[in-house]
Amino acid sequence: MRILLVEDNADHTELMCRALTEYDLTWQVDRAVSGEEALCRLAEDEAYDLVFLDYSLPGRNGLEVLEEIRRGEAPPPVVVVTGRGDERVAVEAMKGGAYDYVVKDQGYLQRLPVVARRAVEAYRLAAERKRAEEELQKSEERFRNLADLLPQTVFEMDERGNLTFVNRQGFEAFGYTKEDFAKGLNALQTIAPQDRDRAAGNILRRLSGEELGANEYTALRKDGSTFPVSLYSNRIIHENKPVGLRGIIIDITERKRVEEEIRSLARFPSENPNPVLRLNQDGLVLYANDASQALLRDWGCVVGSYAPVFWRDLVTEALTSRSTKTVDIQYGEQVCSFFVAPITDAGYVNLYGRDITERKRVEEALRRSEERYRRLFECAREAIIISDPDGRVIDANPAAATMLGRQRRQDMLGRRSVDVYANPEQRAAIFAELSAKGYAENFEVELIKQDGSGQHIFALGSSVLHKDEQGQILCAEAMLTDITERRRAEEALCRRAEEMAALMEMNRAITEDIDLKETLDRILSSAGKLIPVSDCSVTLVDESSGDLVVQASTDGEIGVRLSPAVSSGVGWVVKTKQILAEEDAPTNPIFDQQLVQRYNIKSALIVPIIYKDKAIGTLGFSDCHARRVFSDSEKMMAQALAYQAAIAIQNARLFEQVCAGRERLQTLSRRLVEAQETERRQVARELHDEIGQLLTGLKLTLEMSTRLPADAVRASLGEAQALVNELIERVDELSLNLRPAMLDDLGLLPALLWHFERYTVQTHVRVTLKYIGLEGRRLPSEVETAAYRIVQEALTNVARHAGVSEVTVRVWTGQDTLSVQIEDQGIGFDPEVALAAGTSTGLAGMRERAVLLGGKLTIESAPGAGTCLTAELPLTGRLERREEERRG
Amino acid sequence: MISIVLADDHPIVRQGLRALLQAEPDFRIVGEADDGLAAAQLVERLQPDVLVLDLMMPGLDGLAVTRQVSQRAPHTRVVILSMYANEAYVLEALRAGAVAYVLKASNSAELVRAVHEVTAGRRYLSPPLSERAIEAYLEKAEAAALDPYETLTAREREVLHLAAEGRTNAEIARRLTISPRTVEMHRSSLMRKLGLRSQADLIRYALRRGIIE
Repeated sequence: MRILLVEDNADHTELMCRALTEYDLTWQVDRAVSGEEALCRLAEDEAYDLVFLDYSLPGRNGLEVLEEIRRGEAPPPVVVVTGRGDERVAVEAMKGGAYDYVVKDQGYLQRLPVVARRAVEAYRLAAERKRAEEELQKSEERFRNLADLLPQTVFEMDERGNLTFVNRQGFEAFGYTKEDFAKGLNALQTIAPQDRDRAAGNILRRLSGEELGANEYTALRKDGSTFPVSLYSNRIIHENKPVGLRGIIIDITERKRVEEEIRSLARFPSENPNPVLRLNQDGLVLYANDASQALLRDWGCVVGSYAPVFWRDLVTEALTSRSTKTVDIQYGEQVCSFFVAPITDAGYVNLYGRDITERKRVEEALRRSEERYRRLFECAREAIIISDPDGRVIDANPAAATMLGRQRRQDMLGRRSVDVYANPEQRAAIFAELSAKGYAENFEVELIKQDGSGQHIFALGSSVLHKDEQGQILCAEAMLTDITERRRAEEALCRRAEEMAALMEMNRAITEDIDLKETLDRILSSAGKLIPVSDCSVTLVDESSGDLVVQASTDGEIGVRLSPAVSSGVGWVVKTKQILAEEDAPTNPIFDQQLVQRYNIKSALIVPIIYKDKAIGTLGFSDCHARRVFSDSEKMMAQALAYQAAIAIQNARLFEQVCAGRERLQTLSRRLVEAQETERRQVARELHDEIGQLLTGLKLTLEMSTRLPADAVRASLGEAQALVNELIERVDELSLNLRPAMLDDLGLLPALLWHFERYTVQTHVRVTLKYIGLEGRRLPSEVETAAYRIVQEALTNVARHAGVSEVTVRVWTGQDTLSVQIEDQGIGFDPEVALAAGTSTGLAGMRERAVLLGGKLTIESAPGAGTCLTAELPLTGRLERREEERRG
Repeated sequence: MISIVLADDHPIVRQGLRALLQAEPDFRIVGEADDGLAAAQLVERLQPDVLVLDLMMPGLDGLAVTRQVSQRAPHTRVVILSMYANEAYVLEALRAGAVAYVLKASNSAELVRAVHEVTAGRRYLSPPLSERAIEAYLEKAEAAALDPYETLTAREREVLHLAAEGRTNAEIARRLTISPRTVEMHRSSLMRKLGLRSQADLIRYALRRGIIE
């Protein structure tokens, strides 16, 4: 042992040195008289085991030197030597790193070697411990580094189960972070609840030193999931006391599976229903059980021959890698999963087959079913939408995209399905049913199209919730059928029914009412209900002018005459007999723009009123508030209304005609009675004034002659004869005036000729007769009579009014008509005025005669332009009736 | 002797006529009838030389009896007695086969003369009737043949001409500045007057008349 003694007092140094060396002769004591010298010596020679340092040194004091020494590399222990009673300094020195101190009191020289030996001893122990600790530290680090590299979880815990160390794999396997660990984590927290009691028991048993081997637990991850583990642990012994456990945790999920597999393989090979084979490293088949025969056949080999190349390679690979492997092989109808287990030491490989044909079949069936579902999903006409519990779309088929107006189904994913419901209450009701029953069937739902059109669609849907084993909702699947069209059809049907009802109502009104004005008003009232517009009106073609006259209107003027020219809307409709529907009337030149402006028409719908293939007018709808489109059904309605209107109008017209006809008949018969009376008066006067006078004269003459002498009688009789001749002439004329017998005896032509003769004599108007087709032909007497009377009347008019000296009469027969025409070049007249004036000209009478026979009278005349009357009288109808009468 | 059948529905007239004719020595009344039918049957049975016949008879009228007699008793001469001095009647009677027309108002001697004339194979018309007047009447009646074209109004003629060129009603309407309806009216009227049934008829008519070439 080498001791450095630092002391400036030589006496002390001598004494101390002697005391030490006397105690142990092996001790070598060097001397230093100052701090500097001591430091130099220590710097030069590191081998001192102890330093005695006098506190009161010259120059640098003891504490400073102590500090200096301690700063050195591996400094020896220092014992400070101080003067007597200087305890305070001693404390300072201990603080400064001195190992011990010695006070220079009486007897200190004896104590000195003990102090020296103890200091050196303690110092060595401390150094050894320190070294050991450093070793431990290093060992610990190596352990941790190693532990982190391990693919298994490595842990340490104290005796209470608190984890003191977990390797990196441990954090990964259990999902905890360093922070979680820093907060404190108990081992039992990582064990599934069902295994905790067993684990706690095992920890205690292990700490008490019981050997347990591996224990299997269900480990619990931070996220709640579990996995099977196998746990090995050792006690951590500190100072002969167990302070905790250190262990390793192996995830045995795979092993479990393999074990499961092995279990099935572990039967005695010959009894194993699955193939079990053993191949040597060259691929030679060493053994094969009975169940392997099919496989061997497939391989084309037997026990004792070589397996196919594929299997030889597999064997080589397994032996080389020393790892097991699983391969699925199909042979024949069978599918086998082979567990390849290399037995490296023995240099062969065992093959454990397991028939997985059924599993494969099920898997295949599942895959097909999955495919089928997918295909169904992709191709279904129904929309299928799958959404997560938050109502976000997870998947949707193309039909769903189409139905909801999305371009691609991808556009739907992730969107909230709540947005497509048009009606939140409807959605709430469906979801209530869904959560109550787990499904909802045949609900009708109104959805909003997602293409921005805002269009609503109606769908018939069914929905079902999918849940996992724990009852958590995984997703909701909804299947929707678009029934918008059906709904529309139903609505249209309802509307049709309403329309039908309205039409029926109108029909009843029409058949009940035959006043045209009232009927038209009723039609318009019905029309207004069916096709809401600001104005509907009926125009009818005026037979004489061809103009279209507004006959009824809900909101416009009545009696307005519209041009029949094709350029006006109504005219076009009448002309073409087609519907005219215009959303924007002011831009369509087909409309009379003056009218459009005057009535501020925006949109218009005009349908022709057609009767017997002839457009007799129009039914019009116009809107002056806003532009509107007339739907197809409205057009059809309008046509139906127009059809009803046509019937109504025709009914009303017929009724009017009947009324007018009856009135004319009454007028005519009154006139006929008057004419008859007039004629009778004339005949009576004629008989009295003319015939009567002559007869009286004759009577007197004859009476006188009886009283006359015989010779005078002859003269008197001569006189009487003259009277008789005159009588005959007068009666003849009277008869002819009443009705020319010639008309009955000889027919129209002789009667006319005779009449013209007398007419010319009386009026000095020359008559030119032209005729054709009358020669030798007799016509129905009423036709001849009518023709004769018309000519007679017309000629009378000519003589009275025309102011001409000649007139032409034309008579001709057509296929089934007799026509007479009386034409003059006289002053003419306005036919309308003349007809309206009444009976004075006899025009009405002539017309009546023609009309009564089913014919007509045409009057062409204008003031200053002469007159041409043409009467056309049909022959056929009457002739047929005559034939019937004759037969009857 | 000249055998005579007398037919008149008025007994007084017949009696007067009988007295008049029996006064003639070479006349013999072989039968009398008071209606047309009886007269025709009597004449057919008796086949007299002369039938003195009132034009106005009930049953068959005089003209009808005359026509029958001229067929069934072609040798019997028919003398018509008539109130009507109208050429039309005369013409009609002559056409039916009568050979004499005697006015009732004329001198009674004229009937005797007429019977004599007809038995001598000549025709007799009592004055003021004459063959010339008959001819004049015939002329008047027959010269007046009507050309149906004349019956067309000026408008109808215009329409006819344009229609014959194949123009539509609408075109004609524009041309004449009247409505198509009116054109249609004129067209149907003129076709009726001319007895035309179709557009083809109309064109054929126009070609025949030289309205179109």
